Amino acid sequence: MSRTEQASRLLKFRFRAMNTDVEVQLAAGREEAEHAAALVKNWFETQEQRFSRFVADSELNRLNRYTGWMPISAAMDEVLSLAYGYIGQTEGIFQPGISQALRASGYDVSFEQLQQRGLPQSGIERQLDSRQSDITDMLRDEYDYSRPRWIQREGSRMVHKDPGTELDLGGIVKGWAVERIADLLQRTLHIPAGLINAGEDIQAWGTTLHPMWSVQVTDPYQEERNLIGNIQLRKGAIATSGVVRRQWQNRDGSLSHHLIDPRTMEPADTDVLQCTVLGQHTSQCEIIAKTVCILGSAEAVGWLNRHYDRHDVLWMTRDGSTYFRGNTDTLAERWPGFDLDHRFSLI
Amino acid sequence: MTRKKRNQWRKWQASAAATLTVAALFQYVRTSDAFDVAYAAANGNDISSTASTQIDAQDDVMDEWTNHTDNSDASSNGGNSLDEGTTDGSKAIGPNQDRSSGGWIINQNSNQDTDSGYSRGNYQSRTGAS
Repeated sequence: MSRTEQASRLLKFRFRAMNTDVEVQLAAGREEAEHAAALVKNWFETQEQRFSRFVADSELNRLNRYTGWMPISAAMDEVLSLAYGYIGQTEGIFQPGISQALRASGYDVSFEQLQQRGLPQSGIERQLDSRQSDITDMLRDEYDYSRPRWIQREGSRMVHKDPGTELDLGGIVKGWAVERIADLLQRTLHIPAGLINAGEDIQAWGTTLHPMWSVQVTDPYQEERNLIGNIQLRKGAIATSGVVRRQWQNRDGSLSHHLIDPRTMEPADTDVLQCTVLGQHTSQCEIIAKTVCILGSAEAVGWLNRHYDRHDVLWMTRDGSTYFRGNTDTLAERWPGFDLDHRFSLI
Repeated sequence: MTRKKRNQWRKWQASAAATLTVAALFQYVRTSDAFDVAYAAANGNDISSTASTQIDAQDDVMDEWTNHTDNSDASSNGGNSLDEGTTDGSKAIGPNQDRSSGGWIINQNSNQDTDSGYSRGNYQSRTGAS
C-alpha cells in the first residue's frame, strides 16, 4: 500500500448533540481516532450544556435570568466577544438579543419537540399572546437592533446585559464549536486530515497527500436529495442556513421559521430559501449564510459588496433561481456542476 | 554661524529621533495581536482567525474544558456510532480518562479493509439547511 493510500484512510463517527447529527471523519489510526472522537463528543456535550436555551440550568439561561454584572466562563466570554464582532459585521442583522422574539414566534422548545407538538394548542396560544406583548414593547422602545445588548469588562470575564435582554446564541455556537474542536484536532492531536460536520456546519482539513473533500449541498425541499453540483475543498469551512427545514405552522395557518429579522422581530420575510457559504471559519460562514437568508437576495448582494466580503456564497430563492457571489475565477474548480442563474464577482 | 548650524543639527537629530521612535512604536503596535484583532474588527474581516491567533499562547477555553472533564464523568461514548456496523469492547480515551467505547460503529464502505478496522473514506459529506 502506498504512503498516500495509508495517509488517506478515514474513520467515521456519528453521534447526536446540540439537537443535531454530528459527523466526525478522521485520517488516523483506530485508537487515535477513537480517542479524538470521544474528545469531540465530550466537547459538544459540554458546550450544549453551557449554551442551550433548552437546558434549564445552562450558563446561558443563568445569564438570561441574571441582573447586574455576572462572572462567565472563558467559553461564554469568547462566544460573546465573537458575537459582538459579528453584530458589527452584519450591521445588526445577526443579533443574539432575539430570544424573546424566537419564543414569541413559537420556537420555545427544541425543534424536535416542536415537530412532535404539531399545531399549537390553546395553552400555547396564551403563551404566544403574552410574549408577543414583550416584543411589541421592545419595538415601541425604539429597539436599536444594530448594537449589542450587553457589555463585557475586558480581561475580567464579567458581562452585563441591558435590562430585559435575553440572549440566544444558537446562531453562532454550533459553528464556533466545530471550528474550535477541529483546530484542537489539527494542532494538538496532529491529525493530518479530518472533517467535523455538525448539522451541516463543516470544518475540514487535509494535505496534498489526501484527496479533496467533496461536500454535497442538499435540496432545500427534500433533505434526502442533493442538488446537482458539489463543493470541493482541501481545507476550510462550509455552512448552510435556510428557512425551509426549521419551520412550523401557526394557529392561523401561516408558517414561521427560526430566522428572526431583528428589524421587525419577526421571522424574516425573504426570497432566499437556503444559503451555503464557503470560507475558512465555520462560525463566520454560518453568520454570513444566516444574514443572506434574512436580508434576501437584493439586500444581501449590497451588504456583501459594502463589506468587500471574500467568501463564496451560493443561495437558492423561492422562484427556483440559484445565485452565486464569490470568486468566479475558481468557481468551476470549487463548485463543479452547479447551474447558476445569477453570478456576482467579488469587488 | 557655527552655533546656528549646531542648533539646526540638534533640531534635525531631535526630529529624526522622534520620527524613529514613532515608527518603532507603530511597528510594535502593528505586529501585536491586539492590533490585529482591532484592525480585523474595524474591517469586518476574519475576527475569528485573529482571535485564534491570540488563543495560541494560552487557550483558556480549552483549559477550562479540560479541567471540567477532569472533574466530571461526562464523556461516556454511549450513543456514538462508528460506522462499521459492529460494536466492540475496545477502549477509547476520553479527556484524560480511559472509557469504554461501546456504541462506536465504523463506516462499512465497499473498499474498506475490515481486518484493520479502518474504512477507506470517500472524503464526502453533505451540507444543507438544518
